[in-house]
Amino acid sequence: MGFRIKRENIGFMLILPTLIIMSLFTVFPLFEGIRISFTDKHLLKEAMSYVGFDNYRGLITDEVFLISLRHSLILTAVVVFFQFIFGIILALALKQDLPGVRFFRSVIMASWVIPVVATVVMFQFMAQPDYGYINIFFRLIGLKKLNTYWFGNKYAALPVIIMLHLWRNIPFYAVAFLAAMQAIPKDLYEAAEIDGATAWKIFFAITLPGIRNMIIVMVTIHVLWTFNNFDFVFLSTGGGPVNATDILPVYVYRQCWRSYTMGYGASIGTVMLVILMIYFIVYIKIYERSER
Amino acid sequence: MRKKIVTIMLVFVFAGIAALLFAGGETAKGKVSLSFWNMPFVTQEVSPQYVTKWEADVKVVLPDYEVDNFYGPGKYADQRDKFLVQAKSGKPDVIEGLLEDLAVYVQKGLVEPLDAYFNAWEDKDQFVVSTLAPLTINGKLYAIGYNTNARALVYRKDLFAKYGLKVPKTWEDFILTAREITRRTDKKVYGLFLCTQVGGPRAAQEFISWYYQVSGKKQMFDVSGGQKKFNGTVDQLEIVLTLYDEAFKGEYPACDPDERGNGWPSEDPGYVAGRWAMAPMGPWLWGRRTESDTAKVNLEQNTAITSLPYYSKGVPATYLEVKPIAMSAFSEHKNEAWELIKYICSRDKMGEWLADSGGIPARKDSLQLDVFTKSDIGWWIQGFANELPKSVAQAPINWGPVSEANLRAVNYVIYDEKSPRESAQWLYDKINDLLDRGEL
Repeated sequence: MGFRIKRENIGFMLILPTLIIMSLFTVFPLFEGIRISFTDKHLLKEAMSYVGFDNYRGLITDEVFLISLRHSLILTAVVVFFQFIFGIILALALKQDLPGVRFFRSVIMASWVIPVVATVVMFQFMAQPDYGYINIFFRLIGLKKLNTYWFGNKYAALPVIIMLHLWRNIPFYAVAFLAAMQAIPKDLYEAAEIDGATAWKIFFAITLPGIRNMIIVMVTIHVLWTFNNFDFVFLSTGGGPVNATDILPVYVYRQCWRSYTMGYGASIGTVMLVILMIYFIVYIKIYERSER
Repeated sequence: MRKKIVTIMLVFVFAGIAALLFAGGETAKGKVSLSFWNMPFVTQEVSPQYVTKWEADVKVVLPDYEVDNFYGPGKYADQRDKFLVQAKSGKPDVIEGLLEDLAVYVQKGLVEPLDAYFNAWEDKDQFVVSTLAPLTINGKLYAIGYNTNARALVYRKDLFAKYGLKVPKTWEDFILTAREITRRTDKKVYGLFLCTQVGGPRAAQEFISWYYQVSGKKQMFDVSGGQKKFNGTVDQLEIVLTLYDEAFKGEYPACDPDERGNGWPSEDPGYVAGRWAMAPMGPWLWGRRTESDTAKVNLEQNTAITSLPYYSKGVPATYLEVKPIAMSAFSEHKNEAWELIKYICSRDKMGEWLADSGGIPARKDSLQLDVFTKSDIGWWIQGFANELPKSVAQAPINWGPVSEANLRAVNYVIYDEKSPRESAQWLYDKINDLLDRGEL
C-alpha cells in the first residue's frame, strides 16, 4: 500500500518547502517583531510585559526618531528620483551607437558588483581633507576653502551619502532601462520619424510608455531598498555627525544593540513597515487605475 | 522507486540535522574543543607572529584540548552583541573583553563566578589586588584580569623641545599648548587628538577620565544592592563638555576639526604617523611601532609619557582599565575552560603577550620577567604604571547607553548644536531618564 499524492495536490506539495521556509524566516519574525513592539522587552532583562501603545507614544516625542524619519523620507525620495532621471539618461546614451559604448556597457555594472563596505571605504578616502579626490578637485578649481572631511561635515554628510547611493545604483537602472528600450519595436520609431516627430516627442510618446513596466519595477524595488538601507549610513557615518545622517534602520539598530531596548526598536521597525505598506497600497492603486 | 528516493533523502536530511544539533565539544580525536574569543588576537593589537607562537604553545601545554583559532569578531561592540545572543549555545567557552561589558554579562547571567576556581589556584596571590576589585561584582569574582593600565598622555617630546614648550599640567595649559603646536606647524601637526566617536569605547573612556577629575574621583554611579544612583550634576558635566568645546575652537584649534566624531581608528595611527603631538593613550600603542619607520622613531625616540592634564579646581584622576578573561556560564567544559584561563593568565604567557602588545600585566611575577626588566619596553610600561594610583575603575552598570549619551553630548558641543550648558542639561536629563527606565 503505497502513498499517493492526488494530481491536483502536487503543485501544493512542490511549493510547500518554500512556504515552510518563508513562514519560519519571514512571516514568524514579522509577527514576532510586531508583538515585541507592544512590550518593554530589554535584552538584559528576563522579565517582559505588555505596555500597549507606550512605545508608539514615545516615538511621537522622540526627537531623534523624528529626525531619522525625516532623513529616511528625504533620502528615499531624492535618491530614487535622481536614480530614475540619471538612469534614463544613461540608458539613452548607452543605446546610441557611439565609439567605445560596447566596452562601457560591459564595465558599467562595476559599481554594483563592488561590495558595499568597499564602496564606503573608497568614498571615505575620497572625502578625506587635503588628500581626498573631492578636496583635490575643489582645490584645482580654486575652491580650497571648501577643504573638509565630507562625512564629518553636518551639512554635507547626507548629500554625500545620497551621492553614494546614486553612484552605486544609476548603472543598475540604466542597464534595466536599456534592456526595456531594446524590446520596443523599431517600427514605432521609424513610423514616428516618417511622421516628423521630434526627439522629445518620440521619447515621451514611445520610449517612456515602452519602458513603463520596467520603471514601475525599478522604482518599487528601490523605494523599498533605499528606505530600508542600513549599511551605507552605518558604515560611513553611523548616523552622525550629531544626528545629521540618522535614518530609521540605523536608529532601530542603535535602540536594539546599543541600548538593548528591543521593544522600542521593534516599534520603530513596525512604523517603517506601515509606511512602506501605505506607499505600496497607494502605488498599486494608482498603477491599477492607469492600467484601466 | 519514487518512495525509496524520498525515504533515502529524508534519512540524509535528518542525519545531517542530528549531526549538527548533537555535535558536542568533543573532536574526532577525542580532544575537548574550546572556543576563546579574544579581540586583540584579531585586530593585530598583538602581533600575528605572537598569535602563531601562542597557538603552537597551547597545543603543547594543553595537549588534550583543541583551542579553536577563531577568536571572535574584531570589534568589542560586535563581540558583546554576539555573546549576548549566542552565549547560551555554550560558545565561546572563554571570552576576553572590556570591563564595561563584563557588567552587562553579569547582569544577564552569562558568565560564571570564578571564586571557587581562583581560590584553589596556587598562583592567586600573584595577582594585583586592585585589578581583581573591579572584576568583583556583587561580592563574586567574575573574571581574571590579564592586563591593566591607566590612561596617560603621550606627547612628542621632540616637538616640545623644538618649540620650547612646557608639558601641560592643567586643562588651560593643555589647550593653549596644543593650539600653539597647531599654529607653529601651520596645521601640519595638530596639538591634540581627543576621541569623540559616538559608540567608540576609547571615546567613552577618555570622557570618563575628565569626569573623574571634575567629580573629585567620585563615581558617576553608585551601585548598591541592585540599586543605581546617578551622582553627576549639570555643572560637572558642563565643565567636561567645555573642555571639548575649547579643544575644537579657534583659528588654530587644539584638535583637527575634520577629526570631529572620530575615534581610536584615527587616534592611534595618526599619533604614530606624526599627525598630532599629544593624545590620551594606553600602553597598547607600543604594538604600532612596527607599522612603519616613522612610527618606530616616533614611539621609541620621540615620545614621552606624562599624567593627563587635570581640571585645576578638581583632582588628578584617570580611567583604570582592567581587561578581563571570563568563562561562559553555559560552557559545557568548565573545568577545561578554567585550565585554559589559567594558561592564558599564567606568569609567562601573560608576560609574553603584554610585552608583545604593550601592557601592564595583572600579575606581579610577570612584571619581573626579563621581557619587562631587561628590554626597551620598560620605560613605556613604567610611564603608564605611574598613573595607576590616580586611576578609578568604572562602576558595574550597563555603560552602553550612558557612554553613547556622553558622546552625543560631546558631539552637540563640538558641532555647535548646543552650548556646553545646554548639552550638559540634555545629558543630565538623558542619564536620569535611562536610570528611571531601568536601562542601566
